[in-house]
Amino acid sequence: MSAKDMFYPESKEFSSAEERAFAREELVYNVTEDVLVALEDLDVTKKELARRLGKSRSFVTQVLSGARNMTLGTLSDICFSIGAKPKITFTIESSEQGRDFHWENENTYTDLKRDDFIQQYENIIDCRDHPAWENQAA
Amino acid sequence: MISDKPKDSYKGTKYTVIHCEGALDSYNTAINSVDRRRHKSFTRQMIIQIERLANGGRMTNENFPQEGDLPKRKGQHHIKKFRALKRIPIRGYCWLSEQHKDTYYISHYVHKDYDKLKDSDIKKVGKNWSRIEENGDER
Repeated sequence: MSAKDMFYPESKEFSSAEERAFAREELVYNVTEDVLVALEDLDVTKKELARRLGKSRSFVTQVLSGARNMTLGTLSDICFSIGAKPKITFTIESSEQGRDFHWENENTYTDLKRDDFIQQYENIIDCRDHPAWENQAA
Repeated sequence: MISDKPKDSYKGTKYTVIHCEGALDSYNTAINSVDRRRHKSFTRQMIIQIERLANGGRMTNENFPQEGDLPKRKGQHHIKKFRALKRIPIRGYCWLSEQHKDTYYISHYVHKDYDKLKDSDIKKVGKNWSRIEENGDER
């Protein structure tokens, strides 16, 4: 569930472009908010950050409001100027296609309910049911 | 069953965020003051802020500032403040409930194209606060 449900009906389907826009804005918001939290913790004003970066105050305001794209280079410069080291983690979300490949993964396979798995995928032949197997093989 | 109406709340890993009665209507009014081409983007950004808040992410004073005073309870000395989920020019006024554990209530949204907090907004938050925190309304 997402907070989208507070603004849109549950039945609302989002296009791939809309989902991509959500993902983009979520990353921009969370990164800029994390930078702002770090600045507040360190008591570094935007004016001071601009001075350390050798940029204008408006540049810093635009970058940290998400109005201007922040390059990885700028993020690195900001982190360097406040003595922070950014950590970036990628989490791969499993897709339906991805699940097919888990068939080779012994642990994943044994964690699934075998009958559900067999019924779910049409291209799997249940070898325990010999007559059906022979029919399909024929 | 899939509902054709938006839900009143979102439960994150740390907090539940609830729209007070009429809050979503006030959002729809507020967003109408923004360029139509930016409606979807503004809504996405408000959703993302609510998710960060609900999931216990730290919020900055810049984007989640303290705004006005909440009503005082009897015998209470320290004045408590309500905050704003801020995405210029939209603000969603909210408070952390004392009656409902780990729950933020969003009172209403405004299109804020003025500097000073309006008395009418303080009163509106106070009215919603009293209904929920003192009179036991759900939302």
